[in-house]
Amino acid sequence: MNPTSKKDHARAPIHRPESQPSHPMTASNQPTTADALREMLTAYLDGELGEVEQRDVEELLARDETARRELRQLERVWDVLDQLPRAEVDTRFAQTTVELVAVAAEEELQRQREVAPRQRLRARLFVAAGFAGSLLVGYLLVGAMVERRDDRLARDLPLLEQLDEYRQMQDYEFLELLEHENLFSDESQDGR
Amino acid sequence: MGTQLATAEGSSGPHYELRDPDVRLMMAVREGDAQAFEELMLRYQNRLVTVLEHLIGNRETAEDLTQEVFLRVYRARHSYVPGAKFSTWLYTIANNLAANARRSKSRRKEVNLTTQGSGPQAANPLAELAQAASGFMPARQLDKAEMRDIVRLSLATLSERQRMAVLLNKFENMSYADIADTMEMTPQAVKSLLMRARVNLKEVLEPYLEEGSRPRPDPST
Repeated sequence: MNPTSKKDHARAPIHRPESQPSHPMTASNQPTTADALREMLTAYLDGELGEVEQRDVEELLARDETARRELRQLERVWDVLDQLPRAEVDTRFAQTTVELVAVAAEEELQRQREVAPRQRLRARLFVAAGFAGSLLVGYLLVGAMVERRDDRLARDLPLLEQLDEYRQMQDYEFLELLEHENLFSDESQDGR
Repeated sequence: MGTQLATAEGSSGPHYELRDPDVRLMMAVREGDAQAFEELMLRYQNRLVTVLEHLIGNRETAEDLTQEVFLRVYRARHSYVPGAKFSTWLYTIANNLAANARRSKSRRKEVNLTTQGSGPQAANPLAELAQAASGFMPARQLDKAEMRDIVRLSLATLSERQRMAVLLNKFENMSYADIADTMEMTPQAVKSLLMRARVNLKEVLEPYLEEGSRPRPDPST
């Protein structure tokens, strides 16, 4: 017997036969050392022991007839399960399964079809909302720009109103001189 | 919970995809490959029916459940993320469906019992076996069909969890870790469960194995 190890698991202590009662269970249904031995033997047969545990079990089996008998019985019972019949389904079974899945697929498609118009409407609404939003933002931006241009015009209005007169002046020093002598103080106040 | 297992460990997906060809097939199913689905179905239908038949004890129900498993697999394809071996995922679905079926069956049974009472069909297979083992059985070699029936009945004496663990271990060669994933247990609990199952089977089957090894009496004597 040399089971292939599937996976190493947490190690449980090996209970030596000298300290083991041979009964499988105590009256209170609590695990016994015999259970621990059987657990190890079962895991050994299933190839679920790590290297060290496997070696320990083999050493135990080499020196203890009770453990060997227990192992033989467990193994024999397990082998008998091979007599359980294996199912073989016919081609109709596969065909029915495929048909069931096809029906499920059709239902799924139908649901998608039903959901699709709602999704399309939602997408259109989203696009429309986005469009309206950008329109609003654009309007506000343009409005702000136009407002800034109007402000400048209002500020420069006194200058524009007297632009022809200002153009008749030869230079800036002459205007400063007039300002200095307060000849047009009222008008200049009004024009500011 | 079937699909939860598959999505729970999404980060290890590529690992399973590389190692498990069935996971690769399922990934193809996810992408809409119908042939991959058919391939998976053909690979697993007999195995599933076998496990479910021995678990439930009824071929027709086992077939219905198997088809339901494949239906669930198909419906869950879009959300499938490989977080375990494909067979582990598949048998998790099967185990859950079987548990649901058993629950609804026991509910129906409760109703029947209150109306009909217990009949001869309600006989406990374990009691039958124990009676036969205690000496009522003829001392002759059991033929193959008889032995198969006895093994089937002995399996029926196990608890549902023990039976499922035995079937996954025996028929699907699942490791304790995979059985633990499928049945939502720890590997240590699976170890104890399988030990207990083997001991129970041994207690029931041992007398038959002894009888079965006895040579048939010579008719001339």
